Amino acid sequence: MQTISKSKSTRWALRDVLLLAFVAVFIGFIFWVLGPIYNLLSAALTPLGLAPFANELLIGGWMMAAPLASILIRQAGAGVLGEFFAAAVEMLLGGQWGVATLLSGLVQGIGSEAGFAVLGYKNWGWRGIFSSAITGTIVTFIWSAFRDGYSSYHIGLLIALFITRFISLLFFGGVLVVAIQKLIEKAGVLHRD
Amino acid sequence: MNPLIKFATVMVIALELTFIKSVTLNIIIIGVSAFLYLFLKLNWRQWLWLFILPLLPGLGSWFSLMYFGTGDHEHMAWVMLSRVFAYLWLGGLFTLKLNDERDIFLATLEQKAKLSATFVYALVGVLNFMPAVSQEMKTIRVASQMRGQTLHIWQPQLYFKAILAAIRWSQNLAEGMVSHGFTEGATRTHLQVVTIKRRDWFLLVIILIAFQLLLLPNWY
Repeated sequence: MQTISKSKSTRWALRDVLLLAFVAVFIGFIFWVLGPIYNLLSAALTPLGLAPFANELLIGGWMMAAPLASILIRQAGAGVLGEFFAAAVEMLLGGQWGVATLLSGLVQGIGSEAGFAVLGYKNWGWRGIFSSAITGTIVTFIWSAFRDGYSSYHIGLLIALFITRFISLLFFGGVLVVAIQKLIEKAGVLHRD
Repeated sequence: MNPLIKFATVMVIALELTFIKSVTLNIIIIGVSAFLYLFLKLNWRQWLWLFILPLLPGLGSWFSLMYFGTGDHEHMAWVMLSRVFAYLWLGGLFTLKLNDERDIFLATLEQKAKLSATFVYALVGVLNFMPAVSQEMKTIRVASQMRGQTLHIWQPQLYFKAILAAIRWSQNLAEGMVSHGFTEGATRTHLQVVTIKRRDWFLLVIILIAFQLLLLPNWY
């Protein structure tokens, strides 16, 4: 059983930071295992000009660290930190995007965290989780408009990409996180003092 | 060059590249990086890595922009292809040497960037746990296969079990750190004091100014 500190102070307790870091690493690892599948999928779609869809389909998974960190720690900044940790570990291990990983991680963390923030950091249940999936989609899509050259795509493709990303985030960052939260609550492994 | 200074330089340029639509500039970045790699004594595997890795995402963007782009999309397709290479070659200047420089990078973060020791040591601790994380994921999957269930990426049980391990380990590590004298928020003394040479700051400023000057001819 883990006790999560409930203090409202901005100082981070060591055990919270460590929990956040470990969750980030586990999520990062699970999706790192997925790397080859992503590459295969993207290679298959490349000649059709549809490679961005491989990214859109899986982005929800890469972004799971943020909402999970938020619902576990329940503190402002947890989402950004969780995603940033995941990106930092990936970079320090020599991930394929190098320093660009950190920038994306930061944007994804902010996007996901914004969903909890607009609800005033009061709702950590399914409302907060789905709200974070929505803001996460919007914020990261704006980032993609610049970084991945999305602003030059035909509007039809853009809409299709947006919908795919939204579905991916709704599933991985929404449905799946809610299910995980239920399991955690049922098991009673978290105790808030 | 101090790794944190190198990191800052690379990050600023990478961020600017995101908003600059110029093939010429991307190629200049790739060229300068390639020149610097000559001094870094890379092995052939690292060279292969530099050439192969960006191909897939680069070509992926190139094909879709060629097929489905609007406006000046052919230009953008080449921008994206060169940008992916520029990102990786630029980032590689920092990441490829990181294995040797990781300790000093983290020490600089703590001593010079004044990042809280809690975060720095959490990062160090977690990085050292990586082999164990890999083993634990195998254990989780094998354990469920023994009961005739295969845990897939879309099943919450997989993440639940990973989180249980994360909870257990974070608690153990926190206790371990505290019992070895780690005190949250306390001022620490350092056996190895990191100093950033004045030359490094000078290089940072020169490189960034030179990069901004490159932007002047309006390539995009």
